[in-house]
Amino acid sequence: MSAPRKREIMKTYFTKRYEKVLDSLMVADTTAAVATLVNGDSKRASGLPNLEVVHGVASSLFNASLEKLKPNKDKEDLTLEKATESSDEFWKDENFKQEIHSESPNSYIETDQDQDQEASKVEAKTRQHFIDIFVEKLIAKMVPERLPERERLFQSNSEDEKLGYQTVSATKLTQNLKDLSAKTGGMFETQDTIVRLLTWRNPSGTITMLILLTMICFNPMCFLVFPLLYIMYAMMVPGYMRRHPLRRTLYPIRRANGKSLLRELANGGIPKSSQPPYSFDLYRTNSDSLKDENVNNGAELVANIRDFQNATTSLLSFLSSLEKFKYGTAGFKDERFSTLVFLAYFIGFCILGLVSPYINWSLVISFALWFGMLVIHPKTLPRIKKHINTNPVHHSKRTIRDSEKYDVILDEPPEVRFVEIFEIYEQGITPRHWEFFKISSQVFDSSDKFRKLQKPPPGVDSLSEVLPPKTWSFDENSQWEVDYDAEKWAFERGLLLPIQEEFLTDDMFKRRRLTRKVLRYANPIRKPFYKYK
Amino acid sequence: MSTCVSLKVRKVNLHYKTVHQPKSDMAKEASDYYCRAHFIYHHGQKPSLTLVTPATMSSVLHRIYPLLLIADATLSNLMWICEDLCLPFIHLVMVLMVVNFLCEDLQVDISHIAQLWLGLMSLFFLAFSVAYYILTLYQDLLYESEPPTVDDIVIVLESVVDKLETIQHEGLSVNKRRALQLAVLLTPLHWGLIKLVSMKNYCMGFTLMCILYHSNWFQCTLKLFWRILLTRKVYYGLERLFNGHGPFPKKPVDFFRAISSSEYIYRMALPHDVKALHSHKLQLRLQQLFPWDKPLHNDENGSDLMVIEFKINENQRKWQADGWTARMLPYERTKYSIELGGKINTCHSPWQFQESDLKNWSWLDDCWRPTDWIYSDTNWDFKGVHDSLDCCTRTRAWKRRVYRLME
Repeated sequence: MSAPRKREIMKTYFTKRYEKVLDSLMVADTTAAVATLVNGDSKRASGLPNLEVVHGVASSLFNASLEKLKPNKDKEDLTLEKATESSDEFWKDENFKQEIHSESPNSYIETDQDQDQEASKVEAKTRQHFIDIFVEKLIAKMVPERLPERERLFQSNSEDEKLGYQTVSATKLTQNLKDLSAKTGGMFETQDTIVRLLTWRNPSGTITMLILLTMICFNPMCFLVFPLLYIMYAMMVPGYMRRHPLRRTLYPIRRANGKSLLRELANGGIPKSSQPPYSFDLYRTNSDSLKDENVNNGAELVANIRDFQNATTSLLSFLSSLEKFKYGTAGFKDERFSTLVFLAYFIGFCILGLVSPYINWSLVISFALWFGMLVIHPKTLPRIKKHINTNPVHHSKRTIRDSEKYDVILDEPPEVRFVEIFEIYEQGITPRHWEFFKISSQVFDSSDKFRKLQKPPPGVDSLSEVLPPKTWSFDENSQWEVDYDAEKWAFERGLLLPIQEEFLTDDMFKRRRLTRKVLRYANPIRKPFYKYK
Repeated sequence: MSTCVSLKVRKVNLHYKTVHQPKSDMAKEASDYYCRAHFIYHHGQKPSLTLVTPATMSSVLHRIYPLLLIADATLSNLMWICEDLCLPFIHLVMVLMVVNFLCEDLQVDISHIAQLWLGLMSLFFLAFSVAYYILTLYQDLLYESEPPTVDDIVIVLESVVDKLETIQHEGLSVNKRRALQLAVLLTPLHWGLIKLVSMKNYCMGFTLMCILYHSNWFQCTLKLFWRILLTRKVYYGLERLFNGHGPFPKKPVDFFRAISSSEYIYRMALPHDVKALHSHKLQLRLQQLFPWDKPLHNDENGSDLMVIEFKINENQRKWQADGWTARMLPYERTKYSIELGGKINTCHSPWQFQESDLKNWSWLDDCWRPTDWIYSDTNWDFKGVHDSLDCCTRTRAWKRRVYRLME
């Protein structure tokens, strides 16, 4: 037996030997961290202690390094891969075998390919990026081990036992994203087609779209019928034709003579001089064939990922504007504006409700569609914009707005509540001698934790230093008033101590309650949870 | 601040001689803390009613407990404040179907028969659900739950009373005269509406309004509408139509009307030497006799001098856009007002007012003197002398006196 071979065996032996130790180490560490985090939940209002976060991150780092040391023998992962393979069976059907092997260079021999794949998977697993493992461990630390379903996040967790183990895994997520981006090509193509239709880059297509939409408007049943037609004649018939061509010989046209009136009209009038006859369709088929042949899979994947990235960016900006509406306008951030918006919607609702029975909606919507599409035509839109900008009515809008700021009257009475504070006196040398001690929000009776620690209660020395509760303000027209019914407030607190006039006394201190009115114009607006810090 | 904190710490150490804590720790704690007042909660410990309530009272309360629960549930449904909002909605739809059924003309036709059937079924279902609720409530009280304490009953009673008060508060308060006026005004309107939207739709709309009226949505819509100036103008326009006159006369009061209906008229006797004086000398002497900051009194047999004090109120309103301004709402008192005979009248500004021809009256004071601002809420109800969150209007009086020697 050669030395390297021997070393290899030794290495496997030791790894096997210490795998268990490593595992137990990791388990203990993870559970400890999770336990601290979960227990810390109740304290979360005061913010996660920095020490715990550091500890969590450090242990995740440590775990990630351990993971990296471990050879890849995760049974779970293997079964997962098996599962994906079985779903791949669908694509391995002999009907999917291509004539030209452009997809991967080593797909000739199936057995070889399988072996190679297996090997590369193991390799990939061991070479898995350190950061990936780290992030995964970090997530596993930050969230409780078993993550409830979304709908149960805010419900009682009585049925948690039934839920399977569904942990968050960064690698799995990345893999899913990768797969998703490879498969979303069709979606982005559709999106692109729609954009092309809306911007009149394919005029005949736009007009076809308008005609179809008009048909739907007049007969909503078309909404169901058209998808059926699409599936039959745009998906299934081409599929059939691909497998069983009709053998109709089509001669490629080199040069298209003559022009389409419709297209010329849509492109902005009939040109005087004869332009090179570069028909749209011809151009399109050229580009399509170019795309089919030249653009390889890798580039398409990258393009898909880029589109996906753009889509997520626009989704995010859409969500943030939605959020702005939800928490700003709908949350009455600017009371005047929100009131006006509400009224505008209300009036719109009433008018629509009253008028709708007398309106031929099919006609109105189809007219609106045609009109809208004509307005956003690239040739007409700049002209309309120019016209609006030169219109004097639009300019005078500014001056009207200034005088309109008094149209909403915000004179609702504010919310009123009462606050209390305790003026505490300390026993002096004689029983009749009392010395001012502190003004505090606490009664400071003998069961008070500060008193047990022989510390003064948190408080201030003068009434002017007392602050109102957050988001509230003191009513300037009311002053601190002594509450003479000491018996009542003492009973409400369960304090059975002797009462002298308005004071509640014990062996060392006496205190009286002062109350004052506080006001608040409105409750603060709700914020999304991630904005609370 | 730091000196203040150290002072406090020293004081604390004096009081607690046994404490052996480092000074710096205490100082840190004190500086971190600022005292915020706490709200008063009224749900603390309360004396139990069980022992102090007479037995007959307890038994009566116990007997009406189920009725109170039913009333509470009904009111919750009416105010749309139940936990499950879909339930009152379903009830609403059923009630509407019953109304539809009641208003339906008898016709033999598929859609009519279907509507009739739906209405009848809804009626039965509603009746049965009410009966079922009451039955199960009694059953629960009898067998399932523990008997209620007097405190439980009182809590439900308070809840019912609170809800009733809210409903009463939200309802439009109209006196008999106004109700009659409204009826006279609204009858043709009703008639027109019924002609326009058929009897059935009108009844259904009315039922819908009645059921929804005490819901949060309806009340908030009303409140939001009330914020709009146009709504208030329409409301006060109608008010004027009913009353025959506006809240405040628009025509500014002239000098002589102000004199004739003034409440601050003082008649006084004068020494002989003063009576002989004229114009400026007389004015100066009178100013010495009656300083502006001393209140005037009527003399018992004074018939030499008549002094009238004018109080022109300057009014302002607080606007969100630019704070306190003299811009007032169109239906309320104007920028300057004067109170004559217990009524508020529109008035010119003091400086326009003093331009009027005084005839045989003369100014006693050299100028108009303002008082401090007095703050009030949006309905001009007094709030205090400081600007606060609940103050929307303020007013101050400009005072100046005129005199006339009686012949």
